[in-house]
Amino acid sequence: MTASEYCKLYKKSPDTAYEQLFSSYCSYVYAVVYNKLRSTASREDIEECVSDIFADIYFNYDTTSSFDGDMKGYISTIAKRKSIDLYRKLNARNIHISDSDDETLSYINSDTDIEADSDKAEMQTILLNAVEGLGEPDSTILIQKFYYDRSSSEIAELLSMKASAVRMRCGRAMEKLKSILSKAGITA
Amino acid sequence: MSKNNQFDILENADDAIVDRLAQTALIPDDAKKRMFNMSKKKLSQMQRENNIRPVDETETEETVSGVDEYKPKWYRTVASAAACIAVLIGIAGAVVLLKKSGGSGVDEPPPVIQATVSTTSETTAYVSTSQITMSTSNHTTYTNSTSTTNSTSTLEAISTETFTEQTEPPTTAEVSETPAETEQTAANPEYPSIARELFEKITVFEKLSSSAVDYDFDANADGYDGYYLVNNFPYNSVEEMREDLLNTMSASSVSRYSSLLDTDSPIYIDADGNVYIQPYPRGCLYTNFVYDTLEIISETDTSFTASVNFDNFGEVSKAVMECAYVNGKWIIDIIE
Repeated sequence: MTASEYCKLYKKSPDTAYEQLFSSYCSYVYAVVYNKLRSTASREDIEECVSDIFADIYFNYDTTSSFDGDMKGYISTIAKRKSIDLYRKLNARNIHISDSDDETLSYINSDTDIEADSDKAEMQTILLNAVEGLGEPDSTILIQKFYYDRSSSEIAELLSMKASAVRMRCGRAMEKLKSILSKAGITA
Repeated sequence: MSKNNQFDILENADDAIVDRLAQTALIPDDAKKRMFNMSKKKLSQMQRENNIRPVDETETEETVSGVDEYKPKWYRTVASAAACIAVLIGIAGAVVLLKKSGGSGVDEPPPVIQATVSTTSETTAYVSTSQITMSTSNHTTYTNSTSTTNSTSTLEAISTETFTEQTEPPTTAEVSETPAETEQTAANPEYPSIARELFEKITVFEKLSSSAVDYDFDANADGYDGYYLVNNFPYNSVEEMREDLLNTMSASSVSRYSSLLDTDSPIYIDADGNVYIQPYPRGCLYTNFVYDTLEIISETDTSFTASVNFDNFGEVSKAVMECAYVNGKWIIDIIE
């Protein structure tokens, strides 16, 4: 949905514009939030964060703007910021407040490991390529099962399949994936 | 938390990876609806706080026509009072019946009174009747031989009919006492026993894979260094054990017991008609199940999830097992 489409729709019917915005970007926003909060927040917290994001977008977006591009960039920024806010809130107990002055703090090394980050990014790409190479519905089943942590019955409902079929395909797909990854030099 | 570490690496990824993951971000309709409604509520709140008329109220005003016909608030009070009177009549009826029975000296379960009371909304003007369901126990001292097969009556019927005792013994649903001790209640009565059988198999596989078997350190297998004769192996052969393992566990769950399968250095081997072990002792986790705590958490026609407590090295933990009916048999899909 482009910005101008949204603004036009908003002028006709704000409610419809909101529904359209939500249905267009719900999956994307969910993916952004989930990627950040997967191991920190519960599913309920993630859903609440997604709803916060949409309320924020709707409330703050300037519908009189003449911008005609894709709204995705704007939505992505709001989504990332909200996710990070929630991440920090949930991990507040782990934050240490230092009274050290700026000079002392400058001697403390950053925990950014460029090499490790680069390796990780490469691994992510390899893994996703391998998963997507399995084709549908196996790739979706694996992502839903092992990344989105859905149960076989939930996946079956989403894909209009039987739960037993999902389990069967999941097992076979994992074997294939392991084989592909081991050929690429990656073991579990 | 993901069960497969490989996919954990996808966390905190860059935009390109997140975009690809978004392609498979299937969200159930009920979750979408939930998030949408939540977001609308938050939005309305934000708008009110900023003195902006909320969108949903704006839309509502445009669609409402005419004037709501309000009913006086006393309607609700009258409806509540009528419902309370119905309950009291039911209790009084129960007391009368009990007195009529006279008490046989035998412990009988007290009559169960279930009153269903409908509430009225402020804009409706009707009062719904309450339905009183009563059941009595079968007292052998009854001299009144009037019998009825119908033990329920509506509020109006109670006020006009005389009470009659029930000749059939109360059903389990009508008796207020707790049902007889069973391991658990489930829609499919076979699932608890199937679950128990599968948990027992888990215990066997767990012990076998942990080398928790009785073996003779002095009886070696010819030609196989480090393998010792197993006493009382639970299968006729290693091959039989592997077949049972593969028939019981799904492809994803069998990996926990991969050491029992045919590998480069298997724990168990068949040799000269016996089973030998190359021990790799480790802790057994899924043993010592407390089957009194077994319960079926969820089920469908072809799957169920069962849980049971177990002794986790001195602490009580809960094992959860997802089972599926595949190719004519029940298999364990997940054990955690």
